[in-house]
Amino acid sequence: MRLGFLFGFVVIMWALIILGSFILIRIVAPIQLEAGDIASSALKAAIGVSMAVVWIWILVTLKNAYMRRRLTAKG
Amino acid sequence: MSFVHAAIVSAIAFLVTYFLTPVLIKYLNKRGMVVKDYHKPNDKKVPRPGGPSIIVAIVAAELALFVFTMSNGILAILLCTIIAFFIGYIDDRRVMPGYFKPLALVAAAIPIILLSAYDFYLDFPFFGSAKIPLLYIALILIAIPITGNTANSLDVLNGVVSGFIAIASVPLIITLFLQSKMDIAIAALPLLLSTLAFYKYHKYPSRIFPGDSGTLAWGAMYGAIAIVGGVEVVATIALLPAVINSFLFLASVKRVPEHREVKARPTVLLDDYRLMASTESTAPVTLLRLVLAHGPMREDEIARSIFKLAAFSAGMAILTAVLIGVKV
Repeated sequence: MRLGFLFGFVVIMWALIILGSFILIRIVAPIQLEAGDIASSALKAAIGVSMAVVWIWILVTLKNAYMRRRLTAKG
Repeated sequence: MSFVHAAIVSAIAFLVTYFLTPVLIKYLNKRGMVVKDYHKPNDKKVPRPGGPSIIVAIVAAELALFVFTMSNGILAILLCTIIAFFIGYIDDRRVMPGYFKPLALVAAAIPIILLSAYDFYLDFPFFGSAKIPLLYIALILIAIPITGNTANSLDVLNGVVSGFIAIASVPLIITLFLQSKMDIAIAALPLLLSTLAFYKYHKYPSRIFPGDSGTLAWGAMYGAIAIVGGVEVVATIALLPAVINSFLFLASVKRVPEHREVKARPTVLLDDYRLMASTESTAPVTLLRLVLAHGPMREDEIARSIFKLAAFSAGMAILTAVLIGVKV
């Protein structure tokens, strides 16, 4: 199927958004450190940035695997 | 009364674009404001930019709605769209560096903040809302450049950007109606109707190109509707194929270049004017290149494939809108 990978890519991105929302709303948002609000916010921001990095890494890995299989193999 | 407003606003957006665009085509041809269509034989030239007919239609429709409602949200959407149009128009007339559009589009986001036409909540399916007071302002300043440039980056083949934005705006409108945000739902109708009317002239083989003025206006308007209407997550999902396009491109070139600066092309034009994915390892990865990964296609076939992806994402976005009402 010509568009199979891209449909799959859309579904994976959608699933990552839903999973990310679960982690942020149910796990990260309630975090409250004894060190105070600034430390709590800094930790939450760090977790958010880390999640974005993991998100990008997953998508780049998928893209690279597909590119190796489909495009550069032809060349 | 909402139905009457919706009908008036839709008619203005559609009819103005529909009847003004042929006049603009004649004017641009007469003034020699044409560019080469690289995927056609005989050095075919196409008038550009179509942005002026798009912005006149959108401004007329949104002004009418503003007179009916006096809503700050509608004024914010209107101002954001107008600023994005002018940024695009500058880029249409002069070759600007790659960073110009993303940076300048931050200005288009400012009316939304100044008019306080937003709330701090992001609504997600199943898990409720996230309140992000300070971060949300930063998100607004980032979101408009992203949606503007994302729409702009789709303008690679005849009819693709107008058709894609038309499809992506449908879940936005449905969600806003489902959430009873009637004014903003009606404010989103000119986006759908102007893209549909323009598509008649932009579809393969194109009689006009929207230019940066048209694509940035559509993209910024899309982002502004998502923010003012509070349907950011639904809007992001409807736009996923375009987000994938921008993401793949940036991940492969690792900077924000002006498109003329990209030397290796993602596709190769064959003698029969079909397009083939480039096999060069240095060529940027784009949605177009991935669509072509299974073999060469005609330009109109590629556009249809991208529309199928857009329709699939629009379906996922509508599903998300329904699931936002479901809490676990």
